[in-house]
Amino acid sequence: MTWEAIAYLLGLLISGSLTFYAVWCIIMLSDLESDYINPVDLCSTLNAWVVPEVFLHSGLFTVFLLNGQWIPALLNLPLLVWNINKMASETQFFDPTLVFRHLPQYKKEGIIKAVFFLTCFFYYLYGMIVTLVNENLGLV
Amino acid sequence: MSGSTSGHGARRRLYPEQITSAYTQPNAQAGAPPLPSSAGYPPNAAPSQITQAPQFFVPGEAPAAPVPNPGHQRSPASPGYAAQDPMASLSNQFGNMGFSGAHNAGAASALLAGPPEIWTLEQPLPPVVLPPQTAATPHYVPCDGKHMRSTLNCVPNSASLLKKSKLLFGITFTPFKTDDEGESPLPVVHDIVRCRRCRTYLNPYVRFTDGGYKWLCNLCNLKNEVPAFFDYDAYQQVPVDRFQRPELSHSVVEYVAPAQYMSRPPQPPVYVFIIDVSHDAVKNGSIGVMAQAILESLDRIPNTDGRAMVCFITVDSALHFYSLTPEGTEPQMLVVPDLDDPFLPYPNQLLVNLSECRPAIDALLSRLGEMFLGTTATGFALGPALQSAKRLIQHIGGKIIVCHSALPNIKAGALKNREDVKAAGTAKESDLLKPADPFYSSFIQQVLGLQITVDFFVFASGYVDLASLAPLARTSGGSIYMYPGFLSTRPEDVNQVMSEMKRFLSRDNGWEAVFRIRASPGIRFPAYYGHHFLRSTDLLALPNVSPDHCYAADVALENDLAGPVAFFQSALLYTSSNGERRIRVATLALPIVSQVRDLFRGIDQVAVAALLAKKAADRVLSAKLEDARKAVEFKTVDMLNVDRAELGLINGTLGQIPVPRSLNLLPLLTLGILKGDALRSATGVHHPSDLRTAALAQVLTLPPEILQTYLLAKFYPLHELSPEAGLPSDQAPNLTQLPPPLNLSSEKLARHGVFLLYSVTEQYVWMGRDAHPNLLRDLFSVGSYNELTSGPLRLPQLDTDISRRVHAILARLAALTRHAFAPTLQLVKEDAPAQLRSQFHAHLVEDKNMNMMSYQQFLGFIREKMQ
Repeated sequence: MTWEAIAYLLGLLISGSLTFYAVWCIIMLSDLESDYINPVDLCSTLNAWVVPEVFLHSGLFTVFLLNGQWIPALLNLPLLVWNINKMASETQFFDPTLVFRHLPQYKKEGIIKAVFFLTCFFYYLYGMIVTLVNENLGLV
Repeated sequence: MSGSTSGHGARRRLYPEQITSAYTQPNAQAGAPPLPSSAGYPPNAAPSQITQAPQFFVPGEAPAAPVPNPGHQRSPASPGYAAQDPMASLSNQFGNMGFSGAHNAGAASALLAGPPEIWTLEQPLPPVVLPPQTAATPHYVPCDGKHMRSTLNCVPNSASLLKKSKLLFGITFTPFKTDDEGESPLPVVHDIVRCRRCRTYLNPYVRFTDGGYKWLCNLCNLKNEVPAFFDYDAYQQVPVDRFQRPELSHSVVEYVAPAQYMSRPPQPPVYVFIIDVSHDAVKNGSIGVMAQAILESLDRIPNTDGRAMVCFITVDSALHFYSLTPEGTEPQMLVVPDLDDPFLPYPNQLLVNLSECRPAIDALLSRLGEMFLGTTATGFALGPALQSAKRLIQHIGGKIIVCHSALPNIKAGALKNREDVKAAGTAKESDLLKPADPFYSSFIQQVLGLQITVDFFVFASGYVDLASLAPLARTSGGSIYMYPGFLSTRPEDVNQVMSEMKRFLSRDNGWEAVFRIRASPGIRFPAYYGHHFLRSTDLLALPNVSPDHCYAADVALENDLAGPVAFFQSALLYTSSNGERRIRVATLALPIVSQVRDLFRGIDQVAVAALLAKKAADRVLSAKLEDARKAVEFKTVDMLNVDRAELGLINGTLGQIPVPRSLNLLPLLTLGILKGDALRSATGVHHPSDLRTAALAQVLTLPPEILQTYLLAKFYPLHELSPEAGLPSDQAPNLTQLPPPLNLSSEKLARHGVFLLYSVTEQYVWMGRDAHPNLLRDLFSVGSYNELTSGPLRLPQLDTDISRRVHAILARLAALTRHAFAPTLQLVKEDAPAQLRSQFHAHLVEDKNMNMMSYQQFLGFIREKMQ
């Protein structure tokens, strides 16, 4: 197994878990909307995961970059820029006093992220298989 | 008048037919109050002449009662108008067309051209006309606009109708309003009856069915059982009349809540005072004044059952706590210099019972002013003080009252002076209105849910970064009082602080409150405005609810509304100061209409302007100042740009804007919003961001009836008061009548005149050079103009007619705000210093001032945008 395949495998795991995370966010936000959770609890729960998410995603981007896999790196670039931008303007965390105002926006972001990570998941799966098959073909 | 009686063929003279046809429509609105006949004010003349002026409009005397008048058949060319003296022909035409009849037809119109008819602001609103039998009993008291006020007194039946009308639909609530003078207290109910499904409280609009055994919920139409005690008193064993029950005969009632409505025993009133004793505060003398004000209000703090608790923390570069004990009369000061992790020395002697420790508290407060005279510490550690206060009261909740003069500048929550004069008028200015330090937002998140409110009394002469501190008050339901440039050596400053502080401490607060609005199915509230924390989509958490605070909500329609009437019910669950859990419920019923012209007939433009201002203030805090200003302008133009054919509006001549009669003052109110301290453009004129933040808090919290005066000041000529002004009216003997207001224009200022201007937080007397010596003698007890100097004015109580009346007017104006504000009366002479004059002229919104448009220019701007 080459580094390339390992990178794709890593991508597979990370994008899979991030898909689940995004869906979980959407569920939490809908819970807030239907009053199953209060905004203070919601925000403290979600905020604990904001930095790990960004960290995982940027780590994956670095791995692709180091491996010289330009297409998956390019694919992840917009989200990375968006995350950095959010960090720079200090709006990455959920604020319980403002969460209702931004609720539609947060949900939209959640759905876009979920779709994006799911797409990535299948792309990485494809990438990994192709890499592995190519490796095997090369061996034969 | 000739224009309207001849030449029916010309396009611009079409309106007589339209008006005539409007008359004959069967659904002409019953009950619109007759309007005054003339736009004219009497010419400057001696008071004796005014008594004879018949065309003078007097709000109190106008047939204000909404008399049903369906058979109103007055001719458009009524002879009374034809005899008018030749004024500006435009406004004459306008007066005739607007007033003489068209307002009784479907959509009356006004042509905006001349000066705005500011006196129509005082007129009673068109009444809410509900279909007969809407209420269970005919003799019920409908909801007063001071409790709940809608921008439209009817509800569109679909979202598309609302969208088509382009109107702003929202509701303002003052859930904890204190009783005004002469108002009877709210009826109290002991048994709570609610709908099983939607939890609506029983109200006058429910219907009884099944022989009176069931009641039909007016919101969700569910049949509920009528409890037995409605008809039979089990204690006295007598039948009772259910329609005598207060909740069926009053739209606003107060329920005593049983234990199910408590998550813990009701909390006692708790007041923690954080007092800045750094060098700045010593210099301006605010410590002594605050201590004196608190000392004098100790007896008035709501404490009927002796449970109120107080704590004092003074702060400079260290925290000072005061150990107070019931035995000792000597308070012990405990200094905690460790600000990184401040500990609480003797935690159970810091927060103490007010009644028990009264001698020690008295001793502390009477000495507090002198204790720090020698202080040279310039640090002010607000952050650690807030954290300590929070730790002291986190198991109870209560009020933290911060009185400070300095910028918090050390340790946690230290702020920098980021005021930038060059930022005025640029995009950077909006950043100055946003919080700078994350400490305060994390502190907010810690206190949410702990039932803690933070209030601010700011005595700063310089910058205190109120923008970073204000969110504490905003999310916890607190108030902000600001005294820029306060000096204890000026008696007028001291008076203002003393009376506002005393009223603040003595007012009845609601503790640990939550507020919820329910409405008929299909109605939704997408956004709320005001000082609150939104705990779920429809539940406002108010750790403390102030009687002066108003909340507003946008109203959106999700699907088409069924039925003839829509209902709104607000419920405030709170703990009263004497430890009772209570629910204050208000129910508002509005008819559902399907025509745009019916909607336009029901506009309450003051409420529209209030909501517009609150939305703009909210926008400033989340987006940019310029965006908020643009949004206000856009919405105003949008609302005025109606489908004229649909509403049957008359076409004006060139330069006139035909608008529905019910929106005739909207451009002026909008101009008031744009020129107010909250949204004013600072291009060229520096406007400190602290003042703007304080003004934004006022706009967000003032109820519409007060906000109206905050936006458009009341302006009265004292040298020619109308004969009944300042005297009690016939209908309400304990209510002083106010004179008709003047247009807010410097054209009205006359050299021989003396004028009064009142704008809630400021009040002025303007005096011309040639003011009549008799008036000066009778009002100020001076012989000539030169004996008075510009600046704070103490109006003497003289035994003259005019003096008594002016004092009565001032007292009535102060009562409008329920004495929450006690601004200093400033005398502005014609030759006053430029700064004072510009402060005064800033309130004359019809003028071109502060690099902003005059009223006429603004009309031109609207006309341009409408095309």
